[in-house]
Amino acid sequence: MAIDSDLELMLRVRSGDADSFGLLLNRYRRPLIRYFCRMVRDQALAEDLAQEVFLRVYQARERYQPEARFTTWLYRIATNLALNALRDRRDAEMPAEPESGDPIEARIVDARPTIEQHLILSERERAIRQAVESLPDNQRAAVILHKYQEVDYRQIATILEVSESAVKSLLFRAYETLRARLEPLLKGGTL
Amino acid sequence: MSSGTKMTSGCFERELLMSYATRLLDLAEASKVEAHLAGGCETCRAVVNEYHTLDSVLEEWKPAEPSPWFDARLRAAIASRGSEKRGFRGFEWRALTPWPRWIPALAAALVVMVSLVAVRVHRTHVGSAMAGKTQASMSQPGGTTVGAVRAPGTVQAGSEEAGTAETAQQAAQDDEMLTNFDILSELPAPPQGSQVDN
Repeated sequence: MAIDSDLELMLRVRSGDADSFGLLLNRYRRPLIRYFCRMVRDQALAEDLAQEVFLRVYQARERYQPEARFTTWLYRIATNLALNALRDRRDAEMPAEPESGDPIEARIVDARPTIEQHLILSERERAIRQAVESLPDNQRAAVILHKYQEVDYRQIATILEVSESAVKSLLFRAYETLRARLEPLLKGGTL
Repeated sequence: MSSGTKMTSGCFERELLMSYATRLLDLAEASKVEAHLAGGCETCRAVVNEYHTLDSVLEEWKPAEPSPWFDARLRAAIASRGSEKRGFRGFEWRALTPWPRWIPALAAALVVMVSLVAVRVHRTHVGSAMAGKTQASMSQPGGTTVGAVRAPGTVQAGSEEAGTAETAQQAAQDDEMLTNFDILSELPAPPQGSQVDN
């Protein structure tokens, strides 16, 4: 029901209805920011990226074709931005020539948590976050989309532009890695 | 997953059990696993439990909340890009505000009403001040005093009375000036050729 409604809203946005865009923003603001926070860790960058998604959705409204679910399209834009941001961060951490490009995607952010963030995060939560962040980018995106955003694996396949069996394989390898890294927590202990 | 083959012991592959535990299987495949687990396979049950435990541990990673200024920043970003790009023309940000549309209209109406009241109060004060000035000149011997303390509705009457006093004073001055002109007619006529050429 909500999926159809998203499509209807987006079609109305395409025909110039700004109110419908406001409804979509209200509906997906929080999920998108949460997704980006888990993907890139830095909240300010996460909000910049979420903002960029909404801007791109609005800019592309006239070209929008209801071929897939709205959330698939939304998370595809979001995932591309997140993966680019992660790649750019790695590039920035390496002593290399800085690249020019999109101001958001090229943004260099020190993703190391601050002292306050260290204090706020519990040991267990930090261990989980670090375990997920240690996954390869595609596996991380697959796990976060599947586990935290509750996106269907068929949608994940479209978002990541891989086959459905590849998504299952990605998720299996990711969950196996997480199970190994978080073994002390799984046995009820602490790290 | 159609590739879910039973092992020689009758157990499922680990990947399929993970898919079952994380709800990746379709209904038909999930039913097969459930039937197997219902048969009492402890090995497969343990694997499924491992993934269920992992699933609940991952829940402990709490999500971040959007900052309260997210909408304002997005609004500013759209406004700045709107001035650059054609696609953003005519975008109405009221659509993204949580307030009903009538609130800005009500606020505007209140501003107008307050302004009108302020203007009216100002005029009342000015009228009272003018009436107070004329009060001193309009005091009549043994009579009533004009415009001492008045209700707002009497301000205009006080102004009219003040105007009448001014008119009488002006008439007296005019009479005095005409009297001065009468004196001129009594002067001797100037001699011929004494006019000054301009």
